[in-house]
Amino acid sequence: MNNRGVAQRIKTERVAEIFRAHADFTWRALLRLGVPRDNAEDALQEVFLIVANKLDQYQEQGAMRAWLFAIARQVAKHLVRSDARRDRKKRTFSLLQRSEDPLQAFERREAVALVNGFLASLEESQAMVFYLAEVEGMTAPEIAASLDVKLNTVYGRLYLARKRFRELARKHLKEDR
Amino acid sequence: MISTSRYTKQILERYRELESLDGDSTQRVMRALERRIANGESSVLGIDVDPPALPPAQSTFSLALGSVAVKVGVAVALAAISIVFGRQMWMAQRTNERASSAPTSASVDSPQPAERELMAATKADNSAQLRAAQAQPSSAVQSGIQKEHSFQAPANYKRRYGTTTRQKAIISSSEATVSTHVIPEVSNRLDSLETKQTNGSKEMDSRDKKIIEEKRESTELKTAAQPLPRDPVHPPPTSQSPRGTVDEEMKLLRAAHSALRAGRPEQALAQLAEHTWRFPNGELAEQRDVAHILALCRAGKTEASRSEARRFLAARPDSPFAGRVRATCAEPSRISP
Repeated sequence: MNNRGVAQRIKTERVAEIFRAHADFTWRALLRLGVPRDNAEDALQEVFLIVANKLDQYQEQGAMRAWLFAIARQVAKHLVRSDARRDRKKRTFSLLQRSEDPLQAFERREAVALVNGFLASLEESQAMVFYLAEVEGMTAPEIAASLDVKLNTVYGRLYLARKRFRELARKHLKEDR
Repeated sequence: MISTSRYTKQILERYRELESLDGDSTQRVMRALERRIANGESSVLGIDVDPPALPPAQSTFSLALGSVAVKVGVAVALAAISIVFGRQMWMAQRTNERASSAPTSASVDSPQPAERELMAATKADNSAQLRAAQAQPSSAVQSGIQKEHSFQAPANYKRRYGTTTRQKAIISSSEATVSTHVIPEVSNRLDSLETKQTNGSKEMDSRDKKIIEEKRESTELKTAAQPLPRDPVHPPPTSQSPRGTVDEEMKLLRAAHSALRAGRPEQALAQLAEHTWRFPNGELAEQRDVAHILALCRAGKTEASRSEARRFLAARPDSPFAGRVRATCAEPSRISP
């Protein structure tokens, strides 16, 4: 086997390893970011192909989830944009699970629309902190390590994002009554 | 009324609720990935996202040492600042004391250095010196220029801001295309065209598609505050394109659902009727129909509920709500398996 083949093989193995560890996380992020369920598997492939192509630049420091989320965000943006017209109806149900209670499904749909709208309104760095902390439950030190920012920066961004989210929720509640 | 913090928590909980990827899908994606990596393929989307840049690895020892060094440095700097500052304060206090003890109006009478220079210059009648002394006014002009510069920043900002409002205008215009009450005729026709597109056949000819696109574009232009070209570099975020309309729809549906929960099906029916009237082909039409069937049943209109359920199931046999609809107000014979 030539050198290139060996390198390719090692790369495939590494990507497979990363995939096994983080497929769930990435898949959920894609769905939550509005990728239709039917396209989620393809989108997942795209995310990990991008990882494969940039793997040489990656340093093992626990930043994988942050990187994956950043890629997922780009992929979702791309897919949702090009599918926005074709699959508008389908997208509505992309997060629905079969035979779900309609009220529950509706509430979920509403929550997804609200949070995605909120994430879209944030800057990449802030959206990342908010998602990793509030949705995936990562701790602030973990996020600081994975985004290579100071702990205080994470707290600052999270504080601002939470505040803005609370304001949004308050507005939403008020409109509701 | 629910508190904001509880509502925030609820939303995030609902957003998090999601089952994980099943084993079959994992295997499928894995195999496809291995094949594509082996072929040296890259993403078909043409996206590149660099991994987060991290500093070179540091041992915890050197990290701790570094932080100690930083702390010591900060402490020394603080001490130096306080010494210098304290000294200055002391000096200032002393001059103040001296000034107050000798109440001469020297500072008022004696001309300022620049004025003195100007006077000397006029006396000497030397234009070169005059020019030199006029450095003050010219520096004032310069500061004026600087001010102009600083005004450019808001202008730049405005320009940037302008693009965002422009994007907003485009977004709101695309929202307007789907909102039935803004341009009912066009959007109704669009809706019917679209349902034709989804119901009819996938191989709808490209001419029809073009017509839809053109109609969309034209309505967008008509409804936009000012007709603006699309920005090819920064297209507007279309992920939530009909947000305004969906928000309206949601509001109505939410009101209906809370009325249902509170045991007021009649009120729910009224809300749903309004939804039907305003958004006959809305994005949440299916959810509305399901809620309507539920509300009819709760209001004791069993027959109406059943006949609507039958119609719903005939029209949408694959609906994710089919099971639920079937169970609502079902005849006893149908409930038992």
